[in-house]
Amino acid sequence: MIVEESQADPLLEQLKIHMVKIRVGNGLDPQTTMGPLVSQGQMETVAGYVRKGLEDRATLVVGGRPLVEDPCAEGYFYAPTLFDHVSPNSALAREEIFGPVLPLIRVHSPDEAFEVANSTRYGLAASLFTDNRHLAHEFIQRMESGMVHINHGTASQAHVPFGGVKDSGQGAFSIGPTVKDAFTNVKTVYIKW
Amino acid sequence: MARHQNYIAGRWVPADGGDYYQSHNPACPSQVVGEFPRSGAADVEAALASAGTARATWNQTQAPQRAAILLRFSQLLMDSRDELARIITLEQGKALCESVGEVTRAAAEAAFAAGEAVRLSGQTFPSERPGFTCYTVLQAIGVVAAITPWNFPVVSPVRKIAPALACGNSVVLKPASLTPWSAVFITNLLEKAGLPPGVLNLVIGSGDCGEHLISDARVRGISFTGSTAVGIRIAETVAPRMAKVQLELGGKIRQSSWSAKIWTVRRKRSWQRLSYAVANDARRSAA
Repeated sequence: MIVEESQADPLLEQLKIHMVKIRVGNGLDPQTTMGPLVSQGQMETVAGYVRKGLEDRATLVVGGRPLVEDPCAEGYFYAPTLFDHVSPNSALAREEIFGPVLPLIRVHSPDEAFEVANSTRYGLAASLFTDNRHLAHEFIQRMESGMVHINHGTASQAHVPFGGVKDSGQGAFSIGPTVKDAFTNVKTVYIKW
Repeated sequence: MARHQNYIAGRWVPADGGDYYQSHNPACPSQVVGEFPRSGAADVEAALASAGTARATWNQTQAPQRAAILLRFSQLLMDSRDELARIITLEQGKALCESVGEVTRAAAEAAFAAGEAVRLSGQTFPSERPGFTCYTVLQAIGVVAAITPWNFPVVSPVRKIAPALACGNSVVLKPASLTPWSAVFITNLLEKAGLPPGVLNLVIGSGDCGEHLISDARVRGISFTGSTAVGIRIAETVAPRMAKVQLELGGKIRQSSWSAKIWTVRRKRSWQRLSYAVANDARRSAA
């Protein structure tokens, strides 16, 4: 999450409210809104990234630990985790964690925000929340990303192309009509009677 | 606890070596959710032979008939949504409401793929020389390997299998070894939908099975979702034989906020929506 410095504190307060509301537990419990990680190996991966965040002097705001209290006494449960003041060059900012860890990066200008957003080797999805239409169009143009969203988190629909660029893939060739490019060959026919 | 099998040439069969492994519930790792075959090279070979035999017949099956089978499959997914959602949650861990949403989405993607079967249209071109007719047609590529991850154990296989079948290809599915039960269930539904034997083959096992699949010259297309490192290795492996690759690899979803303060004044719930979206993406995947 990349946010302008002057807006970071109110956003942080809202994020804390939402992350605390996440109900972690057995997925079969109807009250649960977040289940466990898939394996012990994934637990260790996520814990490793949290350790790296602390070593890189990011500020741990929420979570940052496995959950071992009832109803999470058994299982691969990890607390929803929020870091503030994350360096754009750190592992938390650049690498795929694949766990409930949200790094907050503070920036001072739209150019800096776009630069940070493009600084990962991945290019799957990006979102901009703004009321500035000019900035929104600039974001759409400048993002090195297979999918771009304005005023919405990552979305996907059953008939719309999906996919990433850079180290995330070869473009939006999953879902929708573009799948035919992956699963067919074009044969050209010339006929003269 | 059930013992599951591979699905090859229209039959549920044990792995050649007779080995099985246990899959566990990540919310309660002492709970074994099922036993699954630990397949090897001989099983991949059998699946490829089966897919190779079935591909010609399936490709010659009229597109509306292929579409009808996929539409039935979509309906069966919805009919068994609750049962399949429970399986997802048991083997993968995600909250049941998310599993229900995943199955719903998979059904929608299968329905869309069914429609694509009858939209496999080419183009016509005016000729620069008199008396010529010039046009293109779309043809199936042959045998497709679908190698799928554990984060979406239903929608990811369906996203690969359904369009590959719609286009007239036969498929070998190798699901993530952490989440094979969902793949068994999906395969069962396609069998019930009327998919002919050999058109879809299921091989369960470790990454070695995937290695055998990508290395085999009979595989003309590989659809893979997973890490960038493996995706690059697949692309490098198949490049000399010009096989097609469809890669959904790693990601780092980036959310930016700018000038949202003014927006907040105009739309009071904007901060809530923004923070919910961000927290939700962090909770799910690829963040």
